[in-house]
Amino acid sequence: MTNAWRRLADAHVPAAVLAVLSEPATSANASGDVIVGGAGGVAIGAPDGSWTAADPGIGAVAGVVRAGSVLLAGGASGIARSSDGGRTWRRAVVHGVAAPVTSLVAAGGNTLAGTLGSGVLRSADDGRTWAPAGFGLASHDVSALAFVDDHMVLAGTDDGIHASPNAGRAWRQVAGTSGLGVTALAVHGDVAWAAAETGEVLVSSDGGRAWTRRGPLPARAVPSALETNGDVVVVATDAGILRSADGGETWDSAHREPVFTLAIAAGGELIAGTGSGLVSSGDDGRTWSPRGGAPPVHDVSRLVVTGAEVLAYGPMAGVVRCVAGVPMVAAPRPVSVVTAGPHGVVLAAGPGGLARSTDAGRSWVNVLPGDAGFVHVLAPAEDGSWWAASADGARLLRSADGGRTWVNLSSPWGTATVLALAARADTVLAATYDAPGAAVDLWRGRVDGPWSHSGRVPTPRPSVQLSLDPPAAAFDGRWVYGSERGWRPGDGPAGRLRRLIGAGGRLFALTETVLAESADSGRTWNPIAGFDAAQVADVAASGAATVLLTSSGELWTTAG
Amino acid sequence: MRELRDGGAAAVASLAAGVETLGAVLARTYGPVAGTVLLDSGRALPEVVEDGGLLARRITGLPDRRGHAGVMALRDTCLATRRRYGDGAATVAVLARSMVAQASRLVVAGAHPVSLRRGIERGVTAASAALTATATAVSSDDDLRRLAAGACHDSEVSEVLAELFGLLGERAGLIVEERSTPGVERGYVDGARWRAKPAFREVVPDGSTDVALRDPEIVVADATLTAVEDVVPALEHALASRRPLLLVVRGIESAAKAAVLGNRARSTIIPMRLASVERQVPDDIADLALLTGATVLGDVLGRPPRTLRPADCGRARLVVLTRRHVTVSGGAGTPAGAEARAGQLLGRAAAIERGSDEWRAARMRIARLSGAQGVIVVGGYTAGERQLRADRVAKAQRVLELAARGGAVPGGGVALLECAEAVRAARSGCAGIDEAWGVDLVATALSAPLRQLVDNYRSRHEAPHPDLALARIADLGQGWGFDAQQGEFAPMAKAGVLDAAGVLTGAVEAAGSLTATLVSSAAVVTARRRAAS
Repeated sequence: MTNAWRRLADAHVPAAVLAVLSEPATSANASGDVIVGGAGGVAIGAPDGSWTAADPGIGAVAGVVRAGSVLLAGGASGIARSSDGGRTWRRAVVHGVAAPVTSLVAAGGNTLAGTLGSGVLRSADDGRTWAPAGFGLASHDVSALAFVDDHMVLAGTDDGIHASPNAGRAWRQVAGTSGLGVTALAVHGDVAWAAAETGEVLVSSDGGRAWTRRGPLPARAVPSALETNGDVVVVATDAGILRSADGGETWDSAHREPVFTLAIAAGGELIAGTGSGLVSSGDDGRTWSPRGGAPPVHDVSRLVVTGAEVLAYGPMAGVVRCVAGVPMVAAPRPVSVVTAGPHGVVLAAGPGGLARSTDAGRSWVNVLPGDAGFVHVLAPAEDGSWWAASADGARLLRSADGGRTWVNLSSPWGTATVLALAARADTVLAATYDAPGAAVDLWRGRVDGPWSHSGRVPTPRPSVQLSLDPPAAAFDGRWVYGSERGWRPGDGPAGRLRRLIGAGGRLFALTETVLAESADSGRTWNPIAGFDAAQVADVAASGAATVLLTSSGELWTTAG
Repeated sequence: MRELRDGGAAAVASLAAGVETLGAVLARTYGPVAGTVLLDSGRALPEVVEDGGLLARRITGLPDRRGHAGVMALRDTCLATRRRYGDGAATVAVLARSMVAQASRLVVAGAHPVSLRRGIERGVTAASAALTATATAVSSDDDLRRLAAGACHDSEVSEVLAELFGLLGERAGLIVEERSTPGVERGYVDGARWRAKPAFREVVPDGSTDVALRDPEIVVADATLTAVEDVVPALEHALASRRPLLLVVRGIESAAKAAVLGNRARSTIIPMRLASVERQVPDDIADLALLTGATVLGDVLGRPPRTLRPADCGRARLVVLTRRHVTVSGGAGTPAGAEARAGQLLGRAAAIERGSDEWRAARMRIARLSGAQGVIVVGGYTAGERQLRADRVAKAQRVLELAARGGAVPGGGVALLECAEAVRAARSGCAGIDEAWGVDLVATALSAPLRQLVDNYRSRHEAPHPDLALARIADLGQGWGFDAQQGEFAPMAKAGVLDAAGVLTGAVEAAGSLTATLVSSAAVVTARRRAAS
């Protein structure tokens, strides 16, 4: 049994704040909380400066808004809602194709979400269900939204500003803005401001119907957000905060640090989300100073154990060498997957392809050039061979020499999405997802042999976890275990599964309610004491040692 | 046994009695504050009817067979008017009641029916021309809202319809949906929507409401696929292009279905079929192909599905298939091609009877090809409530379609009244006095709607006698009338009291046609009701 936990290290990393919502203090509702969104989810900042992190399960959160009594968060993979001030979240139902959410706004009982690829999504039931509302949009890449009043709403798209007079049900491109990549919008009364990726700034004094151009932003400043209190206009850019007090004619630099989002608090305080936390200004944006500690919105949530080092990683945060206590600047970033194999080999997939390290992450060599998404899943076998696949099923790769060189193989699953791979020296198991059919397909392959379709499991969500040592799989709550005679259905620990790993004949399962271990191939499961599963981000095992990462960034181990 | 009522005067008098009987009832439903009619249909509860067209539909005969023919003639005219123009049944009844009564008196007095008929036709032509000439384009959402309100007397429905027509324009095609909670909601179709179904149950899995495909390859075949060879080219192309595949087919069976199911683990394949009325399916398939840039395949077209080439496939930015419809957004077809076909259909629709199934189908095709489809969702706790609101939507929709194309005129019977001078001017071309009387009776009948409006208002409120009201309006000048909503004299257009010119033109033509037909009847043969055994 696993016991005797020892704190090993911390995996704290600075995280960019992508969304800010300042809640006014009311007697009935919260109390002046600040809710921020980042790559790892949301964090609720109390007036006393403390933070509470929560993961809505929608990837990087780029928009947070209050709609009536609920909070809504929009992220890379959907929209979630919370009825308890952000402590717990449930995914909303989004009709159509899921697309990354870039902005969320609410007014008059209508809530809108701007997306990259699916235009505008609209909800009339406080964010429970969402449906596309793209009628009239010239581009379905929407970067910004802003309500002028309860009916009139503006959208900034890759192809100009669009206006909707009926709360986002139908849109019309505003004359004179065609071809303009609008990235930010802000409204104060009837005056609306827009900023384009080219640095152009436009203003409208009639609620967004007609626009005139103002002085452009300094060269090379790419705007990401706008705010105005009527007297001054501030623009968040990758070079810092720019401020204009003369109606947008001239712009002064007010803060030199990449800024991703802006908000105005009830008292008029300007708040900006930077690459490492929040800064605020109480003097109309002239001066800015840090606001509280860094909110815990990093996305470091995965663990890899290689020799004596423990690597923690997140897609946007990159990789952290926890024992050494340093981020790996040479590792791919953003990183899609990091996996440790035999003989101290670690592979990491990122936007440049596949990188390999044999010194616990100190140095990396790119072994397979490629683009983002080139490799999405990796599986090492005990003999040092590796399998890799892209998410879209386009590539299946195998390395027989510890990840140094790779061979392209033809996959049997066509264009199906690959969810998981598990490998042995002679066998590989792959799970793909048929989204329209809501089912996982299992494929079994042999080295230098043919593939066979070995099963189909109805699974409403694309959730599958595989282990071949010992053999076990979980399909969105349905468990099966392998034996000499094949697979048999069985039971697993209670709660929705977040992580299943097999190591040295043991199985570890981290669910939403329990962290459990099985030493008999899943026949019996025993809870691992010492941690609340809700506070555990990930678990890893190597030899006799078990390592876990808490959501607050603490690393614990059972190793001596 | 049949009863013969011979002789022109007797026949016309008999028919006029029937028209008067039904016309008097329908006239009570004319105007915004018209009275409701309690219809005892023999069921447990009497039905309250407020719409002239609906009332006409409910009345299917009279116990007294002598008036039956006239009743049925007016009923049929009212129903046809309602079907074509959405509204105007009560206006037809009021106009026809006046015209037929006058015509009957003239025939009894010895006027020649054929000359009288010619005069009526001359008068109706003059009235229609005058109405068309005075119509002005509908310029604002407010005008649309008031027109809709005048037709359906439902402010919520009117508000929503005005917005829909304001944004979608005269090619608007509305999909009416129902829900079980009260209220009226609207939406706009981003692209084009057809009634459709998955080709078989497994396409949309249990627990899902829809399937969405981003950037799919689209194969369109006006054929039922049965053999593996029918689907292999499409499957191979989808795998090679690494895109999801939408198969639009008549059906998919046997080995073809097995091949699709067997390949679902390798590629996203969504087979579906359009669920339009059977005779419309080829047209809808052709439109879908045009909008997506696909080539329609089919044995009868000389291009069996097994001959599919990559260039035959269409594309779209997004396809969403539910169990009831498919929505195609961002189709790769050329806008010029869609516009050309929409233009052809507009010409064809003009030659089809308004309100017919064929006409409605053509209108919806035009809307799809023009990207002008909207959705209106009417809610109500009971099926009856929902049906009532759906009827109101249909009625107001037709009125707005007519107004969008033919413009609007001052409402409350004023536009009709002001046509009378133009009609009387048509006397100059008459061949004789009998024909001139025909023109005169049309001119006289044009004041009947305003009289009826005031009379209906007087049945519930204080108001001057209709004769005095007409005199007052004549003093006030052109464009003035009686605003029955407010209970005061007002300039109708400024007060927002409007009628669709097309509805009034249709009503005058229908009433004139009915009168001309009845007046020239030489005999009426009525079936005698069988004695109860």
